[in-house]
Amino acid sequence: MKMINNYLNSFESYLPEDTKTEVRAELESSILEQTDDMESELGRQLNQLEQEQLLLKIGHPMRVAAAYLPNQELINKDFYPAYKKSLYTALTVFGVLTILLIVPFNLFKGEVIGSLISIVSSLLETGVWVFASVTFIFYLMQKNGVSLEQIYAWSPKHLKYSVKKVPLSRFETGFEMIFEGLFLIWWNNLFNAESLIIDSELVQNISMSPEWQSVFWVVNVSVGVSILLNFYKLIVSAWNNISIVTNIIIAIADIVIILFILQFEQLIVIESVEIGSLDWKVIGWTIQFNIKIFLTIISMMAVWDIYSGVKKLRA
Amino acid sequence: MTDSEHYQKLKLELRRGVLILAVLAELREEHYGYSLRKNLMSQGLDIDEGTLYPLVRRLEKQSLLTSEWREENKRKKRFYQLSDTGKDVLIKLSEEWRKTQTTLNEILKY
Repeated sequence: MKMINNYLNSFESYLPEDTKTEVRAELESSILEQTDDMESELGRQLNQLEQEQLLLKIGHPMRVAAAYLPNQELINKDFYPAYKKSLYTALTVFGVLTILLIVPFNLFKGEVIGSLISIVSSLLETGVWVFASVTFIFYLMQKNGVSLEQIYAWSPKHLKYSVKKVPLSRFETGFEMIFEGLFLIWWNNLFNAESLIIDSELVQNISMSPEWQSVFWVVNVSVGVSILLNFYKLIVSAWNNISIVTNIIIAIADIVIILFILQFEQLIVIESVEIGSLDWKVIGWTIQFNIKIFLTIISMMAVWDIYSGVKKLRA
Repeated sequence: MTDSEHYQKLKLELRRGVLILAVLAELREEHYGYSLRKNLMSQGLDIDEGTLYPLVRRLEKQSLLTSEWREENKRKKRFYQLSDTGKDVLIKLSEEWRKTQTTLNEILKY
């Protein structure tokens, strides 16, 4: 009987104060009657194992008690579709605002990893606040009995045309967004770096060529728009024809810009060509070669983007 | 999820609505929790305590049942019975059930 009593004590502890005594009494009476029935059938008292089997059949005290509790969902299924839609909209709006406010401050910090951590943590913080606020608002609406008719007020003639959506991987989009973020930070740091430290004693002045500097804002705008589009895709997790076409346009713009940059005769300017034993012509050529490889990889990614976009449009 | 798990889940869903009707019908006569459960089980409707007792309490809150605590065989028990509102609802639900059953039987023929 000790086991049954422990079970009932545990069960009671999960019940609301105003009903716990009588709900416990009801279950207790039921268990004891079952015990009586089983004992009269067996002609002896139930042993520990049989009592254990009986309680296991009834279920975990917390689960059994849960069935008596009112309103066990923070947001119930009737409110959920409106809640989900509101949450996505709020996350998109506040996410874009956060990116617009935070990214420009972090572009010129000169520390890629630090800037990225700062941007990601700001986005996460905004996300948590938006999630908590929208959930709380909907919880209050539910608690105060706001009419569902009011929330879902609609008319067939006011329904907007919605475009067909193609599912997309959030992982890929997130990866692309992080890559673009890193690129943007690198790009801005590159243009703000006045000198290149070769070792602790030798400092060589290196600057971007005027041709390359002329595309500074074009690249910033192009990658910035792409990050915003990816953020939108990350929230919605689906493609529609508009976002596919926008993505293709951005990819084409990227290729055009990269082809334009690759035609520049000189990407960097090194102030004094030869210092000490270092051959600065060779170093300059190596840096330019590496930059060109990097730009070629980006343009190949853009070509892939165009190819997969066209494929999605045709599907 | 395996076929058997799908079947068990769908069976539970199918039974959920029917249980209310069975409980209301059974409570045309007075019962306490355990005797109600035994009666349902003897007629082939297996239902566990964790489902039946909260359901009975909900129905009582909705004024479909009345209840009173009484002592029987030196044990305090809560006896439930259909209220007047519950009787009306049971008549309507039974009628609805019969219609649904006829319709479904027709559909299931094919």
